[in-house]
Amino acid sequence: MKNESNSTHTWAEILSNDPRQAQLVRNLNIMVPRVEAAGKRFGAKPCRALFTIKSDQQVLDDLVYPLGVPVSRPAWWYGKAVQQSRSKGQGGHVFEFATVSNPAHVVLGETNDLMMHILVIIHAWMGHVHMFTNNIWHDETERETALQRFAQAESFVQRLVNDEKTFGWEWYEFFSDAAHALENHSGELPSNKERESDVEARAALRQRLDDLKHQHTLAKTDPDRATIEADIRDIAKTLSCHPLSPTTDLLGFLASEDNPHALLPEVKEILDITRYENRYSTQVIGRTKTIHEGVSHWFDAELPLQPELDLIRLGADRIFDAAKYDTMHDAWPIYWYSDPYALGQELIYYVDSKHSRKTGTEIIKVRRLKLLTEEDVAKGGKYMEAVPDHVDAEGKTVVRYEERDINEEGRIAGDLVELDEFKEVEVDVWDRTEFWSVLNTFDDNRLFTTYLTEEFFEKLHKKALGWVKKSITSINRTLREVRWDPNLIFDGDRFPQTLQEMFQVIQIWMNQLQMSSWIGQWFGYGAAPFPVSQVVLWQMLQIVQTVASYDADKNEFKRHMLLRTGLLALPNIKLVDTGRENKTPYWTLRHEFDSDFGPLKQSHARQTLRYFWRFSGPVRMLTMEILTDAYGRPVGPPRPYEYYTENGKTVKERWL
Amino acid sequence: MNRDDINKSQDGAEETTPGTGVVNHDAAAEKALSEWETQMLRVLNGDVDVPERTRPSVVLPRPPYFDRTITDRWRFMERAKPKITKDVLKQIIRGKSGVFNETFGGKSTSTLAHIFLTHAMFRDCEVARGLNDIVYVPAKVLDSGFLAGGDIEVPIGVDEPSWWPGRDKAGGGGGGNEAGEDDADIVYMPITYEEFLELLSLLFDLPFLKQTDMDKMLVQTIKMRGLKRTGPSVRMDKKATAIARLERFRATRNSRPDEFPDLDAEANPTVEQFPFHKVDLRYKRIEERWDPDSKAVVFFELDTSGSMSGEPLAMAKFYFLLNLIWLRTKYNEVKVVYIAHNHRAERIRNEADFFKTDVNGGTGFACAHELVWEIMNIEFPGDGWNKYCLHATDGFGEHESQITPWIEKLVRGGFNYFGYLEVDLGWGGFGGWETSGMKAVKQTAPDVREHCGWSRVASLDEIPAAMKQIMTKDKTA
Repeated sequence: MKNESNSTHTWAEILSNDPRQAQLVRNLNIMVPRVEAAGKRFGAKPCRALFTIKSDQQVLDDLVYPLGVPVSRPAWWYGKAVQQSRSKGQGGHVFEFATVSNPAHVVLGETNDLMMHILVIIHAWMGHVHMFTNNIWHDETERETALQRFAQAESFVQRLVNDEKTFGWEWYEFFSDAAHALENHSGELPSNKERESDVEARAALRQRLDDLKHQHTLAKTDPDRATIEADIRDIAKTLSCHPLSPTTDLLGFLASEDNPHALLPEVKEILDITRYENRYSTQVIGRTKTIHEGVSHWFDAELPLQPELDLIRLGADRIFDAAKYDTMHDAWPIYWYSDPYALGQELIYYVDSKHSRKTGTEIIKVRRLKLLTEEDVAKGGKYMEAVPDHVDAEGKTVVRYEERDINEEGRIAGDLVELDEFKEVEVDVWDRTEFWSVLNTFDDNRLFTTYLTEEFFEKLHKKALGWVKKSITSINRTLREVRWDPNLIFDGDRFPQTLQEMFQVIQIWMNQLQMSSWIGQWFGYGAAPFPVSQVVLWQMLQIVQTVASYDADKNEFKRHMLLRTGLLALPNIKLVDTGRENKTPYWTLRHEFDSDFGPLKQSHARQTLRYFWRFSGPVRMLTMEILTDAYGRPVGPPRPYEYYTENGKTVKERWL
Repeated sequence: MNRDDINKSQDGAEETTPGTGVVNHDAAAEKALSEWETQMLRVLNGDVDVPERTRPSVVLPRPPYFDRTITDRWRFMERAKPKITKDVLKQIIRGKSGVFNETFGGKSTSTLAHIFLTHAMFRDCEVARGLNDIVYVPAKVLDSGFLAGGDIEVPIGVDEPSWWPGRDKAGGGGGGNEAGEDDADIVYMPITYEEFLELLSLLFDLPFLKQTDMDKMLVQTIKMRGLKRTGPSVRMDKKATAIARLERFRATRNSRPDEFPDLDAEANPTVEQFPFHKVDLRYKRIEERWDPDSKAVVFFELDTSGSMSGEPLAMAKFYFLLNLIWLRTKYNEVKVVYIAHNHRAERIRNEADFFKTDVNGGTGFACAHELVWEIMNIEFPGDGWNKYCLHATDGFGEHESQITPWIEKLVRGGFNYFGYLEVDLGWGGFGGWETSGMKAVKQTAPDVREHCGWSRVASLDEIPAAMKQIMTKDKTA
């Protein structure tokens, strides 16, 4: 099976006064279709992407806004974030970011070098943009129209602010601050589209109530009647609540027609905008961070090796660069357990090993690349230039190659050109259907629950402990070279075999390190420094402890990793009742107590109520508190506790 | 009306327009429309891609930098400025905020000292030369282009109610009232020196700056207040005049035609035809007032003797700078006379030169006071000026009996106040002895002493407190 790669090609009119940038843009545009071809073979289906090179300052500015979208409504907290990042010098260099949109806008940091740019294109496009396009958790970002929505929100808010008579900054912020405070209470994701609406459900229940009343008159025995009466009481109790089922989507409920208060349409719009922003960025990314970075990092490791990219023609130096950049996120083995990039990559490799199978081989024909040097330019010669030829039935532009002369076209050193020279490579063909179906439907939580198996951990531990053993061997050798005390060299029969032994050995060396530095300080020159960095020993110790804690309690270990996913630490607050049906003069919220995180912070509860009051009027929140004694120690189990505000300022509290 | 009804009524309308019998059906338009609809349906169903969607992925060059955050930062500052409170300022002056300390000349200095030493006046100049080291002023840390016009960055906590994963600590949620204490919520607000000095008046006010001879100093001010019907033509208010014509026009309309049937509406001129009349003319009314105001002159006497080298000189200059900026925010017009003296006094014409003067020579006070006396009598005679004399020195000069008469002469001869700052040279204790300079101030006659203030400092950090002590004569500061 033959595959003529680069049958479609891209080109760009370079509009830049900076010749060096023009060269970079040109070179990258040669690489983009090659990345696409290689990614396609792996099964990636990202949507179209527009890559823009931007300065670091611009990138930092943009990143303050939700997912770096190019338009966003005015809000003071964006200004605050900018002010903070500028005066504290936060941020540093951002390599890339991509917006959830179609086409995706991918931003490349200006100070990346050529190799980093290529890796970043692979990472962002094949990884992130693929996930944005195909993963079901991103379905409600409305990627087709997202940027237009943000633009509309911007002009809407601008209009409110300019309309000083009815709104202006003060009133806009009165509501939008409150919506901002509640922004994480924007409902589950993905939303349950099959759930019937409150009105429908209520009508069905009323119908059921009528039926039951009818049955009650027909019932013949007392036990029958008693049963039916119990049902009737249940249903009547349910019907007295509004909404019928408690909702975590506070913003959505307030903006919906179910809301019994007649909020101004502008206020509902503000709620809607805030809710959408949160579901567009924080919710989605918070729930899929590990799987996102895992896939992207996996592509970063795999795609540069593919023949389509022909990276070897960029020179050995750049290959070394690529290897160096690849270790950015797994500089230390402990990252394999904690860093979303490194852990994600480990998991993706594991999923791949579980679900993918090799089905055969194919031969790929690739046009060779050349990175022009000064000598090439001086010598002159021919190269092939891709020019658009026609648009095929699918609407894709097909290119043809024309021979050009290096000197006539004014090519300079550092230009990447394609040659009239091909190589044929045999590559494996893999069936990754199942693999992609996992990646396109899972979020972090499900990925962790499913694939953090004993087998996975055994593999990971083996790899990590392998590193520890290698380090021990290497330290032994170094100690012998500097003629350290032979009693403190643990090789041969004394090489530590168990975790316990490794722990002891590392501790002995830590002691040595501290003693030698102490002696060095006291006696000055002449005292021998311990020839190992403290950081290395720390890392070794951490690995050993991590593996030991896994051995001690596997379930607890897995649970702790799970707690890091899916915004689980967000307080779970539900709207239980608005009092519409039972004539209660206040709304009721309920905080679900979670023993992992303890009771809700009191200031958070009070502020939540004060802000919610701006939309609802008098409101209370039910939660659990733990009684403490005079020394602050908890007494007994958590007990029901209530916060209540009537005027939006003072919040009253009591034990229930 | 169901779907069929709609179709029917549309069909009916297509055939003929009632009453004309002309067929409206345009075959070409209909065909184009149906084609367009089919095409749109295909696009919506995803059967074809619109051309925009089929353009390939490309890398684009860098667009020009555009700061889109300006509106948001501006709005944030609006909200944050009221949060600069007394406590915040105290924290800055004490320099104990923990996040804002800088080192200056190897020693840790307070935020405030650092802030002022980075003033433009000190830029690129050597403040003082010590025996072993040269004290250079640190350049401004941040590019002012990004600071929205501010010179000083004031750390304030602005809480953001929302709980953000990652930003806030996990567990129990963050935010709320106490969020301002969190380091993540601290923001540095850029404000100008002048604004900062205004804010400092929250902390302490200077009683002696309340002008005693306020009634004597009058300044003519002119204000536009209201409108008149007569006046010189240059002050005519065209807009008000035009409005007056329109008002007169409206008054001529017959708004109750039932009661005045004889009036003919057509006979009235339109608003364009309606002419101006001299009763429409409106003139701006001018209010001229003589407002009490005051002028001030300050004499800065800087001791540049050899013993002041190094940090003492920097302290003295910092003290003068603080005073200078302060006075400029307090008075409409402040004249400053710069005098540098060692064993002989010299007037320095240029502010920048004054702050760049280096040290040498011995010390004498009388010569400086004599020069002050002469300049005052020649340039600022009489009661027209509030006069202040501020002296900064290490205190090692002539015997106090030679200095005291001069101070008494200055105060009795017209000076409102005499301030004396003594910098500790860090040579260790003198067994509780006082320097001759300090003795000279303290032993002045009681009527003079109540117009004198003095203080002694050992480090840059103490300067603001010393300034307060001198100005308010607050011995507890």
